[in-house]
Amino acid sequence: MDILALLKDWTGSFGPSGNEGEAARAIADAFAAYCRIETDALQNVIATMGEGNPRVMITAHTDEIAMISTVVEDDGAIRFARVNGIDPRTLPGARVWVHAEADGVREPLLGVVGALPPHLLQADKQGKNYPMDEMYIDVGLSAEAARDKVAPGTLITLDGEPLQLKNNRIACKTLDDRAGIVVMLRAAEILSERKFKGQVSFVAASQEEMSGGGAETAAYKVNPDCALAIDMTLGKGHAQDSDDTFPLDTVVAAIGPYIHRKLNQYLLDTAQEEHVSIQKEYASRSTSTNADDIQISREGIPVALLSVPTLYMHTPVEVAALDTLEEAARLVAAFVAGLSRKEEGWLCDWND
Amino acid sequence: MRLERLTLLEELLNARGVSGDEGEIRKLIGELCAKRGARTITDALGNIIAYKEKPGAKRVMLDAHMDEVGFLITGADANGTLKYQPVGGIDPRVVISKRVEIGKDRVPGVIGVKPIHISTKDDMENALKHKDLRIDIGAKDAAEAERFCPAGSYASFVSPPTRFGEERIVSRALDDRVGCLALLAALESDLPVDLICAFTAQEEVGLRGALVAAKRIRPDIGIALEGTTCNDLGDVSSEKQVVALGKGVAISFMDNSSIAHPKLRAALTDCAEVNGIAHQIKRGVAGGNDAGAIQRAYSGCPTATLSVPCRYIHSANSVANLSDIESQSELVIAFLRDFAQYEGRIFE
Repeated sequence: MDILALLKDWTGSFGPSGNEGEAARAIADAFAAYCRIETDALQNVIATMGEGNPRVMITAHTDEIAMISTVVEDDGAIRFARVNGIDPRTLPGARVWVHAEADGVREPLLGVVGALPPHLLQADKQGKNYPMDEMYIDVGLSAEAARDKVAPGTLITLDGEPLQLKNNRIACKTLDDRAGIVVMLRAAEILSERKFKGQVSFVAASQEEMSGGGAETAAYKVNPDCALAIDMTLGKGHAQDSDDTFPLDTVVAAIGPYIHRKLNQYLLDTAQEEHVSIQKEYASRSTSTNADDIQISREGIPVALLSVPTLYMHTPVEVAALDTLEEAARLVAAFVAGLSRKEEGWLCDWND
Repeated sequence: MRLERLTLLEELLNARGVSGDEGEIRKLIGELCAKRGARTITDALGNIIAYKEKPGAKRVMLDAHMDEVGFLITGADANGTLKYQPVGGIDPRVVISKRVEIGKDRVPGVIGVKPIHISTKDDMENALKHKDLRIDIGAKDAAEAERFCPAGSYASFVSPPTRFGEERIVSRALDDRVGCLALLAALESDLPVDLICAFTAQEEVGLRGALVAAKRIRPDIGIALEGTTCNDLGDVSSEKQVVALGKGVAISFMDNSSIAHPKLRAALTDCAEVNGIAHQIKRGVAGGNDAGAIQRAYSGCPTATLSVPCRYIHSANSVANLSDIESQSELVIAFLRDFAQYEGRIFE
C-alpha cells in the first residue's frame, strides 16, 4: 500500500463537515478492495469484513475543517467565517480553495487570504493577530464576476499538498483525520491476509468536527460489541511540549471515564504482545473525539481510543510520522483479530 | 502575456535568491543576459551588470533587484527545530503554517504554531514574533537538524507560480522578478541609448547592491523597475490603497528612499499617454527602492521608479496582474526607444 499516494489523494478530497460526499466516495472505492461497502444518509462509509461474532467497529472521521463565504465586497474581496476548527492565525498570506459551484458541479477557485499590511494598521492593531472578520479572500475576480460564482455560503478549504520531511514525516492539510482512515485501510489490508473470527466494520464517519453525529448513527447501525476510535492527538514540539502533547514516534491510548477500562487494557496488552510501543493520555471528561459519541450510542458501547500524535493540528501543515501510522495499523489489526479469544460478556463484567 | 514571456517569468520565479544568497537566480540571469547578446560582469556584491553599449549616447541604468525576502537559519533547538532571522521585511503573521525550502538541497520545512486546541486567549490575540517561531524539517534533535541545515543556511518560501482569476499570477518573489523580466525585455530590444542593466543583489536589506552598481556604471539616468505594495481590496480607504491591480504600471512621485526627478517622471508619464500604455500614479510614499541608492551614487543622476502593483508583497503568495507586468516592460522600452524626444526636456 502506497501510503503517501493515498494521503495525497485523500487529503486533497473535498469533505467539510456535512459535505463529506466526495471524500466518502474516494474512501469507499479504496475499501471496496477488502470489504463490503454501505453508505448512509449522513455520508458515513461502513466497510465490513468477516461474518458473525464478535462484532467490532473501528472508526476514523472523514470530515475536514473549513470556512464559508459571507459577502463579496464591492471591490471583489470575499469575506468569510469559520465553519469549524480553523485557526485564524494560519490564514494571512495563505492559499485557499473557494468551492464555487456551477450547475451543481464544484469548480474550485484558487484564492489568497489578505489583510491590511503592518504599515497601514492602526497603532492598537500592531502586533495583534488579524481577527477573521478583518481578513478577506482574493480570487482575482471583479466584484461582479466574484458574486456570480461565489454565492453566500460557499465552502472554503485549506491548501496543502503532502510535503515529505526528514524521518519519514509528512506535512499536509487534513491529516486529521484522513490519516486515521489510512490506518484503517492498512489494517484492513493486513486482516485480509490473515484469518480472524467475527466481523469488523471500518467506519469513515462524517461530522466529527461538528457534532459527532456521524459516528453515533453509524454505531447504531453497526451495533458492535465494542469499538475503537482512531484520531489525531497533539504532537510534542517547539512551544508545545506540555504533558498533553506526545512525541510523534509512538501511538497513544486514552485513559478516563469515557474510555472503557477493560477494552483499553486489552488495547494496551495487545500493543505489548505486538511490540508496539504506546503512550498514555488522560482525559478526565470528554476526549473530543468520536469515542465520546460512540460510548452513548444504542444502550452503550464499550469504546477505546487510539491516537496518532500530530504537530500543528488544524493547519495546512499538520505533521505526523508515517511509521507511526504503520504501527497504528498493525495494532488495530491485532486488536480486531484477538477479540475472539475473549469470553462473551467480558466487557460488562465489572467484578474484577 | 505571450506564452514565452510567461514561461520566462515562471523560470525567474522558480529560481531562488534570498538577499545574500542570490546564487541560483544570478546564474539563471547571467545565462539569460548572455543569450541576449549582452556583455556581463558580476561584481563583488554579486550584482550582474549587463551592457548593451552605444558609445556617445546617454548612459541609462535600468535597475531590478534579483533578491527576495526569506530567512537566515541561526541554529537548532534540542528538539530539532530551526531558529531563524527574517531576511528583509517579513511580517511574522504571514509566515505561520507556511512552507519553506532551506539551503542548496532545498530541504523542505514548515513553520508550525502551537495548535488552537491548547492556545490561550493571549496566544490568539498577540502576534508571535520571529524569535518565537521555528522551522520544522522533521529532524529529531539539534545535531540532525544542523547536519541538514547548518546555521548560516538561507531559506525561502515555497510557492509555485500559479495563474488564477482574471489575468492574475500568484507566487513568492514577484517583487522583483517582474522587474528582472522588464530588464531582459530591454536587452532584447535595439534601443538608442547606452544601455546598462543592473540585476542587483541585496535590495531587501538596504539597497546595497544598487549603490555599488550605480557607482560603477555612473549613469546619466537611472530607472528602477520594481514591484510595489498594493492594498486595493477589503474595503480599504482610498488613501491606503496606494495603487490598484490591473490599472497599469505605477509611476512614483516619491517614497521613503527618493523623490523622483520631476522632469524624468513627467517624460515617462507623457510617454505612457502618447503610446496608450496603461499606467497609474503611485499614491503613497511608503517603502523605498534602488532608485534611492542610484540617485545618490557617484555624482548623482535623475531617477524614477516604475512599479508593478503586488498584493501581499513580502509574503509567500504575492499576487500581480499579467497586464501590469506587460505595461511595465512596454513603458520602459517605449521610453528608451523614443529617448531622443525626451532627452532635451530632462537635461535642460
